[in-house]
Amino acid sequence: MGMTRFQALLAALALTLGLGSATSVRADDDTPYSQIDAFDREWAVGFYGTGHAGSYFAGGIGGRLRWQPFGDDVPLGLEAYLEATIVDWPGQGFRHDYPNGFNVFFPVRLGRDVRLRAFLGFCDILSFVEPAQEGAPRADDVLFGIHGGGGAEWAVHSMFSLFLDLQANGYMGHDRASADWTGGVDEEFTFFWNAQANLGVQFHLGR
Amino acid sequence: MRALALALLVGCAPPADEPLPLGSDAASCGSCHEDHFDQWEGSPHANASRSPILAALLPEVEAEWGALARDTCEGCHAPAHDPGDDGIGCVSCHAATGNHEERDGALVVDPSAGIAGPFADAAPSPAHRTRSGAFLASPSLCGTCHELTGPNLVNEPTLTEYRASPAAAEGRTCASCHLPADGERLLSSDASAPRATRSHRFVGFDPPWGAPEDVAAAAAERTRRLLAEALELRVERAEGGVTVTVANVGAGHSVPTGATFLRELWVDVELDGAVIAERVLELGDQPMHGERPVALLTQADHVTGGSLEAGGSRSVFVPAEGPVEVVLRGRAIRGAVLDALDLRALEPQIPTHEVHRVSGAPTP
Repeated sequence: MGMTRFQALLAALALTLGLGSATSVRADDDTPYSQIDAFDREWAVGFYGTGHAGSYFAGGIGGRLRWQPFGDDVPLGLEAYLEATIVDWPGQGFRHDYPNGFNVFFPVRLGRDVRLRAFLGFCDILSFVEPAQEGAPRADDVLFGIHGGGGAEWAVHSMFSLFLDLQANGYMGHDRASADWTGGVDEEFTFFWNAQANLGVQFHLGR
Repeated sequence: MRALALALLVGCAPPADEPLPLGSDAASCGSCHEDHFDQWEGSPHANASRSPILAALLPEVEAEWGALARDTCEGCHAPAHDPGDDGIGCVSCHAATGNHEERDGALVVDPSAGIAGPFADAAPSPAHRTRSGAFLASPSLCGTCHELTGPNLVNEPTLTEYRASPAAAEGRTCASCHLPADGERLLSSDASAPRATRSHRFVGFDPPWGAPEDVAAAAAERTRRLLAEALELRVERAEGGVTVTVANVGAGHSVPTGATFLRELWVDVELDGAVIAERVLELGDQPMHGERPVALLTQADHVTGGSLEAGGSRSVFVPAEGPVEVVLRGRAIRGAVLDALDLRALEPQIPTHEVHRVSGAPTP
């Protein structure tokens, strides 16, 4: 008798949790701080370069704070991030965006130094357009959305790792116009999407 | 009173983000800028909300198209940028900082940003902050209200027409014709040196409703000259008649433009002072309901006819046996509109302009 789809899902989850537990060993209190594996540490701070492509193109930098509160008992973590990007803007003026949000992520250890993860979360973008003409009306907006994706991390030191994330973002915002003295935001909501790649370094802290 | 106010203000130019100390209504501006106020007072802008045609049309619009449509009309005709102004006042342009869209009256007006003038070296004033305002001289400002995409059948693409016109390519702006140069003068009662200025009469098609006879006559002559510079009337000999051509050689937009469903320009052919061929060529939009012409846009389901685009021309052959006179005439409001709105009594205020009169004869 074959497994149902639900049973298969549970099995995959159990395998994932088991893999996470089997391949990582939580440092005990006696382990010297410098010898604790990067991925066994509770906190991490990351810095990265980011590129967005889709409804619009953008590039910039970002930073994030990570917390894995349950150690290896539950392979789950939380992240908050903030990015600063410059957007390729079809109108006149200069658009700069500040995407921010949080992730819930699910890590899977593939050995001592390599880890994969899946994540999803809520996000928003504080988006500003500097008018082409001084004093002209602004076309600023706040976009709200969700995102999800996956990533790979490679620990190059007990406190440092490199990472690459690929994610998809979907936002609800507004069409906007900015040209010479015109700055306007449509009243109707519009859907925007993009794919995002982040490449950066992470500093792992704590036990 | 003005002297007292100025005496109190001299030497203490208002800081940023403070309201204008004398008020931002046109009458307050006029207490120092007397010439400009006098010119503006009889202008279509000052009268934008006082037009009896508008007053009669608004209930029609509301009844047929709803209250939101009426609000759209009033958004340009009575924008209330200052509560003291019932039309389009000084701050509507001089305190405008931009627009949310280049259409439908989406103007952004902020008197606290200072009063804009067209000069790169804005002279300080004790009465209000001054700033150089490139937006003030830009067609984008005018186009914010002179580009309408509604309500309903209202379609007034004057800014779009301008941008496609030879005038735009030559660098002429709305002000070139509608705020012509008006010599050098002191711009306010406390100014120390004269500067180049422009007429604030905003010459256009609409008459100065309710103005004294001499004021109305002067305004009518300005309108006639404006139309005469915009349109050319040519009459060429032809076998058995004459070919009449009307060309838009001077306007930076179609003629008529704006509320073309109210306007009419037409060509009559006369012999010894009597019209022998009426309206052989017409410009302006005709509201239609099915196949039937109707007087008002609110009664229509589509519009036919059309204006003469900038740089364009229209010709018609008119049979004639001898020398004739061809006359191009124009009127701001169609007679049928007056009848439909029960406003025939206004007819004396709506002059029929004789724009051009040209003689011609068929080929012998």
